Amino acid sequence: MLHENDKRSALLLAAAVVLAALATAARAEIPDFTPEQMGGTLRRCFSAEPQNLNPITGKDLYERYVNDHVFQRLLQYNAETGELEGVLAKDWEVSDDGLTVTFHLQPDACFSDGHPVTAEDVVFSYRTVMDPEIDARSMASYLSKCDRCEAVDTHTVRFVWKEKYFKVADSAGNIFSILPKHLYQKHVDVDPEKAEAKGVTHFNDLVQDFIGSGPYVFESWETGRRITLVRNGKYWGKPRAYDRITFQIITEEQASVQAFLSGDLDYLPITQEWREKLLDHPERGKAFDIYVYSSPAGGYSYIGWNHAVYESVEKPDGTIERVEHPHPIFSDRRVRRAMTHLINRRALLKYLYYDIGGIRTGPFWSQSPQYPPGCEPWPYDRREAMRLLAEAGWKDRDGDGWLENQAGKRFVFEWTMPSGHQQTMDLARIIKEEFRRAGIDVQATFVDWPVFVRTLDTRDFDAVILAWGGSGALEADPYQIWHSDAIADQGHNFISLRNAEADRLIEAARSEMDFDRRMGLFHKFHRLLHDLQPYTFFIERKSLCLVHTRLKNVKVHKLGMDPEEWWIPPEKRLQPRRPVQGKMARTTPRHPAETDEGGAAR
Amino acid sequence: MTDGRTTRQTPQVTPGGEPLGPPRSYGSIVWGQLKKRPSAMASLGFIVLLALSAVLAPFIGGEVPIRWVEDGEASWPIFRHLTNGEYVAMAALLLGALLPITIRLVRPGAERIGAGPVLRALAISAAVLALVAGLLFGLREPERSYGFYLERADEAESAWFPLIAYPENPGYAQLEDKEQPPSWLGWLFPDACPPGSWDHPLGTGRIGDDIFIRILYGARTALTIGFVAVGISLAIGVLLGAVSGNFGGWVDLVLMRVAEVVMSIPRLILIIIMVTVIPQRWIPPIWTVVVVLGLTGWTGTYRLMRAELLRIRGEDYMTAARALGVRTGRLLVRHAIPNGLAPILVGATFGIAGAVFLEVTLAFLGLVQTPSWGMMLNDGRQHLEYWWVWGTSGVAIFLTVFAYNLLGEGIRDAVDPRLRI
Amino acid sequence: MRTYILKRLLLMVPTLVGITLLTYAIVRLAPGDPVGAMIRMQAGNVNPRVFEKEADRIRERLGLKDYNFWGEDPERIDAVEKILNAFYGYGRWVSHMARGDFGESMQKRTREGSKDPFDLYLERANVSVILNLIAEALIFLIAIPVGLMGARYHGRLFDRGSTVVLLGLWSVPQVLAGTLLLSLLARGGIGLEWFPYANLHGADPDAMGWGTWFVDTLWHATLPVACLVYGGLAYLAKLGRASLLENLRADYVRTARSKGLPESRVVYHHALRNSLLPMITTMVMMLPMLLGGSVVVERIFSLPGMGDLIVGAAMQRDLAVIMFGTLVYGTLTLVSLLLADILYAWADPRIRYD
Repeated sequence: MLHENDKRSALLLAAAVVLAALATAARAEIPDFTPEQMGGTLRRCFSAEPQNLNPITGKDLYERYVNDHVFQRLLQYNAETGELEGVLAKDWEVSDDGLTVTFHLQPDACFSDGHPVTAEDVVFSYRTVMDPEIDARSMASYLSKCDRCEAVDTHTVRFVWKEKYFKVADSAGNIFSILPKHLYQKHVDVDPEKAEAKGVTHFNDLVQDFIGSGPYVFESWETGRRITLVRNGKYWGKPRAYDRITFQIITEEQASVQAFLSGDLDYLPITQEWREKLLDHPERGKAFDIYVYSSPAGGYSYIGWNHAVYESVEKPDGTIERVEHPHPIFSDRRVRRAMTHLINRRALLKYLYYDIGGIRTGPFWSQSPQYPPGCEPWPYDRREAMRLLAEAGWKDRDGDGWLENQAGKRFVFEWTMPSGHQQTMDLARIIKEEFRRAGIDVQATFVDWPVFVRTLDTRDFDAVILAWGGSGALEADPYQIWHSDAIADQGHNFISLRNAEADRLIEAARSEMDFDRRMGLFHKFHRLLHDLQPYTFFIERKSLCLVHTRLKNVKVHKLGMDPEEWWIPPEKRLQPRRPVQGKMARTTPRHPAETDEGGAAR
Repeated sequence: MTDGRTTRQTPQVTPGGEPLGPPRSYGSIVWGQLKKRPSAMASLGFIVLLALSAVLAPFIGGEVPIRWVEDGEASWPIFRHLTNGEYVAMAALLLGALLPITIRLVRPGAERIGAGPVLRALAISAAVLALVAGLLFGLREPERSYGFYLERADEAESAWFPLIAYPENPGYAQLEDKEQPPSWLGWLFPDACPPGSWDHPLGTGRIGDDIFIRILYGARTALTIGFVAVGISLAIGVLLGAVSGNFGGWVDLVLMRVAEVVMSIPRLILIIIMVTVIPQRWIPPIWTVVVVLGLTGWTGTYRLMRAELLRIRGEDYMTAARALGVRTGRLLVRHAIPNGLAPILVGATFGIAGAVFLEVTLAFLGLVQTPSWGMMLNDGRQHLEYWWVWGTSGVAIFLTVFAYNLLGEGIRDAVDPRLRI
Repeated sequence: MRTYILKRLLLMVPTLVGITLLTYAIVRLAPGDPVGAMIRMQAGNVNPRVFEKEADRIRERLGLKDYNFWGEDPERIDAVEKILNAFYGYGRWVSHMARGDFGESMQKRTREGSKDPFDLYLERANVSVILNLIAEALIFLIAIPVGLMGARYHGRLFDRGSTVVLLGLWSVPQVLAGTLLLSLLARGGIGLEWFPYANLHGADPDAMGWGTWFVDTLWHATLPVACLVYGGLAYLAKLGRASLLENLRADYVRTARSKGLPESRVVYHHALRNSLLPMITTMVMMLPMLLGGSVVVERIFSLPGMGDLIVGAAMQRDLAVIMFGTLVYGTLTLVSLLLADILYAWADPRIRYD
């Protein structure tokens, strides 16, 4: 069993460092539910507890999952078409110069306490995100090029940007949730030092009981056990089917799968390994279904090669400056390409990841229009790798089995990884051995998640393994990760990639408003990174989940699944659960059904 | 009589009327008793076997052949690849086996072996070991290149591979073999399992690593932890106990309080804090564990040593010896330690068992990174249907701990005069 | 006797101070930055502008802030200052504790939202206490007859066999035992599926009646208790056997026998009572284990107990929780030692502490 924090780190690794925590899931078209279809409880599960449910300062995925039901944004992505559509905004327009986005709010939109959603609330939310005292760092970075946000009238709000940007509507409308100003203004305004004295909790310290405009309202949070949401009686839009949504907290994966099979859960994301185990389960297709699908939110994992080393130099006036030098090993493109050739992604995908997922070739999702057609991944080719290394000066010069460069320095590097994640440890073992056979000494260092994050921030590594989650959208903006501006200030360009051509392509694409031309630029960019291999792009991940068959209208859209479009037939609701029969091992016979575990009917 | 050794007038017949042999030392009496107890000897044998297989592991399982003949040239690759540490361990084992001979060399022709020659022989062995270690580590660098011997096995005219010819660490090629049950099951259940063979007698793990090899090399970790941790706590406990018992007074008072404090701190918590705090770069966590185990485990030995010293302080022969001017150190070495040794040894064997246990707990908490049995148990635990992973490591741990416990019990019974066989 | 108890109680104080001071020093002075780590744990990425201020605020609130005593630069704190800060912090902890303020946990909250370590431990106390009390009771109840029979039939097959079996039981690590129990007896395993996989309760404990709740709890507790019992049982049974054997060989037993007393009276009335003493004192010494002894079992069976709490706190260097736990554990240990000594003195009039 993984410790709670390791579980969180595993999930963070598995899904995202920052980006996925930012984007909402794409949403489906909500059907018009008949009164008969309304009712019931959707029971979901978390593998660790969220730190808080604050929509602005919350940083983990769990907070996002909960607040997807409680809060709304101006815009969202349609899961089927992949296009932006309005939620709290009825419609919007972008000015000709591309610098202004104006949103017209839904006239009947209101918060769960009855107050209407106005432009003032939008402006307040924006200001809260941008407030330096508020702990909303990653969101704020997406709005860094926004000059201002102002209310034009009660239901019209305008965002003005400093530069042209192809995601100008997305960045304004789909980044932050809209908070009710009348409730939270005082929490934002209070001075954090004096907050306790005045008896007003500072916004950063608000943890639960938030009021939003979404179809569900926060009801309770039993620490360590369950978070419960109930239907928002005053919801302004189309009602959803369930009366309640509960999120149970079950840390151990075995236990959560057990709970699902016993009928205690309706929907459970799982790992590839569990899918493998449950493939032959007798109840599969009868009591539950396994869904495997690709979505931009799946993201990809990668091995990052640090292009730079930093030296702390004390200047004459006593301050410390960090001087950047090219990395002795990985600043050479040939070496990075050789690393990729030495990693047998196909075999690892097949055996370590149960063949669920694809091999990533570059920064963009394979089914996104940004992906250049015909881009093939570099194959596993040891001979080619050794040739490239030799070309870059790495040969076994003294016959001791290790590669050395011209200066006689051995090829040894430190690979830093977050601890507690089994798949990562397995991966590290195999790659370390294969590299050893090639003459490269890999020092695998596992560190705690907080230490790992620190290592990323200070760029104090040779190589790391990590993952990016996707946004909910078809088109991703590579600026945050790949532009040289994102190196300083602990930006996301951890590996310190400085490439003039990459920068140029990114800048050009960002301000290109014509779709086809922009795609052309992105294609070039993807191919460039494929050539440069700043990361060894690794596995493009698919999402896997179990869904109970009692849920109806379960669909997989182009951009994923949306639990809010499902419903529960009346006869399947709130009954004492009949546990799913059978066991998980494939070679032993079945046992008769057990009586249920002793929870009473609700 | 003047050399400090005590000479007692021993009866020439046992209470039953049988004639006694020449007077025997305490140590040989205990050893004789031990030899008559089958369970103790069995566990001792098991431990020796374990130590042997741990030290000689590369000869039993691995990818480097013992002998390799190619193009008419014969070579012995395994000896080039053995690390210096492995050579030192082999030397230690050899010196340990030769100890009886060394003792006789030191004190030729003696019927009775007292504590002095034994300690002297130990000191000599230790010195030789240190010399060997120094030479090896200073002059030799083991070969590390991957010889691709397994892949090229066809090219050799003759190749003597270890018993289980399989890489210690799996690569891509080994991934295919992942999660196989013990291969001989294929003969018993031809329908349910892949065809029977001796390739993987204990099955493979999640990434195609052979379980037998993992158990083999895991023995090293288990034994190292046990011996080093207990070694440290023995050293501290004996020293402090001797000081405390000998000097008494406020020294004793202070040390007793210190022992109480150390005993009252939850050991597991302390280890966890130290392990999580000391970064992996500075000290590998395994040594942190071992050192903390040693630093917190001495209180039992301390009390025993102290009790022993307090006891003999009152004895007349001690007063006499001291009046004669014999130095305190000599008294300690010749009398206190040998007499107190048996209960201390009992404590030590139980301590080794306890250290192995603790390692399992730490691996369970995810704080251990060196491959070990505890790690295997914890890994396998999460996939109950791959019973060979957690089953074999569990059995290995159980057998080792059981052996140490049996041995400890055996020594305790051997020392007890009322249980004389 | 009274003066002895008083003296021991007084001596407990410096020992407790030693324990808590040592623990505090280690946690406080160790390298690394637990507050920063906690913030990073919660954040994915840290904005340096807000981070330091936030971290400082939290440090001050938790009493972890290092103050600069000398030197011009308020940021630079050298090793000596760190040590002084540790002492100062310890003093602060003691004075707060005297008032009943145990500090605040860095990360954990109770169900009601309290961060007070006292509440945190209390919330989990019932799980740990229930489990360990049942376990200790069972250990005692089973060990006595087993030890008794072993001594009674000393040397015969039952005795020799049971000694080996008990020793074998004692040699099984709890991780293995728990895994075996789960795989063979619990749902989701590969054997029978009689018992649940995790937790102390089913899905809805509040909605059950008292009777159902009781049975349900027992059902859930069976495997964890079994896991806790087998080890202590082995130890205590062997102890009981050895103690009873010693008593049976004693002079007074020979006297009783030669007086013509029936064997059962000799054994049960005389020898047993005397041999119970070391067993009782050992059980008393097991008292501190109520707190931290069951962390493995708690984790394997997903039970929110005190052991899990303190181990988790140790891994994250959550000072307040660790200190409270150490205080309780240390006090329990010392008290149990004293109790054991008192019991010995009370039972055996030959022992005098003067």
